[in-house]
Amino acid sequence: MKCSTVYKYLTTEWEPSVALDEEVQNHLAGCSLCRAEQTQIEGAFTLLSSMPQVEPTAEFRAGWRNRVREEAAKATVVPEKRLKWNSWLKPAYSLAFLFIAVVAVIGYQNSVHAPKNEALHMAEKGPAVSQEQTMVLRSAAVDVTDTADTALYELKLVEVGPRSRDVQRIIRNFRSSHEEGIVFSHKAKNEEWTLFRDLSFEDAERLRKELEGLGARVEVKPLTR
Amino acid sequence: MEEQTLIRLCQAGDPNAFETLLANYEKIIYNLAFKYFGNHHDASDVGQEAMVRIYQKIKDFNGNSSFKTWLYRVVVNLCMDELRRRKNQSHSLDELKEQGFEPATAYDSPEEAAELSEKSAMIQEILQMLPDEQRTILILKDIEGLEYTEIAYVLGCNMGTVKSRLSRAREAFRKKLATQPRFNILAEGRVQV
Repeated sequence: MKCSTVYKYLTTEWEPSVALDEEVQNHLAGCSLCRAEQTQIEGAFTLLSSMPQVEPTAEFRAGWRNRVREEAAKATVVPEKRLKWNSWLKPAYSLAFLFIAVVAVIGYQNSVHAPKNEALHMAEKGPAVSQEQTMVLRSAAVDVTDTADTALYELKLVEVGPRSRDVQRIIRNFRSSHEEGIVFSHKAKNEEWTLFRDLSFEDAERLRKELEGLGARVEVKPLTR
Repeated sequence: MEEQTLIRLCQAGDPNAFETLLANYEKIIYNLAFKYFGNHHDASDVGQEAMVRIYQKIKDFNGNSSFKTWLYRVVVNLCMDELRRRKNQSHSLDELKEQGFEPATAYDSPEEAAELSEKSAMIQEILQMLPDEQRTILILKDIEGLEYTEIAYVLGCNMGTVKSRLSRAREAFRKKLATQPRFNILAEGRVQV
């Protein structure tokens, strides 16, 4: 039997719990290279198969049940068409395919007068607060029209408040209910950004209200571009 | 109530039956997502999404495989979609990277990291280094212990493809393992784990 045949057998057919094929056993008895190969394969396999299970988090256990209930409720209610604050941007999205990084956008739509036709960029970061308080959620939008609604908004969680776990949960649920969210973190600065594309103004406003309802101090400001 | 009865009730749109049925599988689904993404935050997000997907698709389950294998198929497809989506977006995030931001993989907090044993943390590290296809096959075969026929169903390919992918994946895993100083002893088989 060739070494290559033994190797193929060991990597595809064989598992440590199964007795070795007799022919392979004979080969291994006289081939130190294949024996070393087998030892390594066995080590890797044992390592993988002994990987422990983790306990699902409480957020997951409660979250999926809530979401399934919401799905079930949707099925019985005629959906109401919701107008998104930025729906007029969509054709521009498809044309230019510009990346829109919207992070927990909090909008005061009329408070911003963004320069027209300015290139997209992320805004300057604000000053860092204390370690536990620097959950910075930022937004950026695109310069596809000359409307002030293209402004950037930033929600900054200045103080988590007394119910930090609930605040974290709200933020986590917010992320999970917006499938475009990607979490980025900056370990050195202890900041975290979540990027979304096509996030509705209403959803972002809801997040702000929820956080403030829990006693968190939230700073909202339009960003300079 | 028997599983078949619960499945029929779910297919008729009964959310309570769905909760009862999936309560038995939530740990499997969560762990599967955890092995793909390596942290609780993503495992929770993707796991919840998987549950919704299963709820929406359970009408399509026709009993050609076991229910558990069908669940694997739905969850694996979702995880793969999510990984692809993240890759497609990454080019747009150069600006953040320039500013020193990195995707929040691995562990969300020191507590979370401590919760896992060093061994499983290291396995996760290596799995994260592998291409999605290889990671998938190792998770399904060597960690979850699915049969070849089940994996073929989950991935929608034939047994030959499963075997060849597995061979490549195990080899890649061993090579990565050998580059990890912490794994050297294990890789050389001197210590039983």
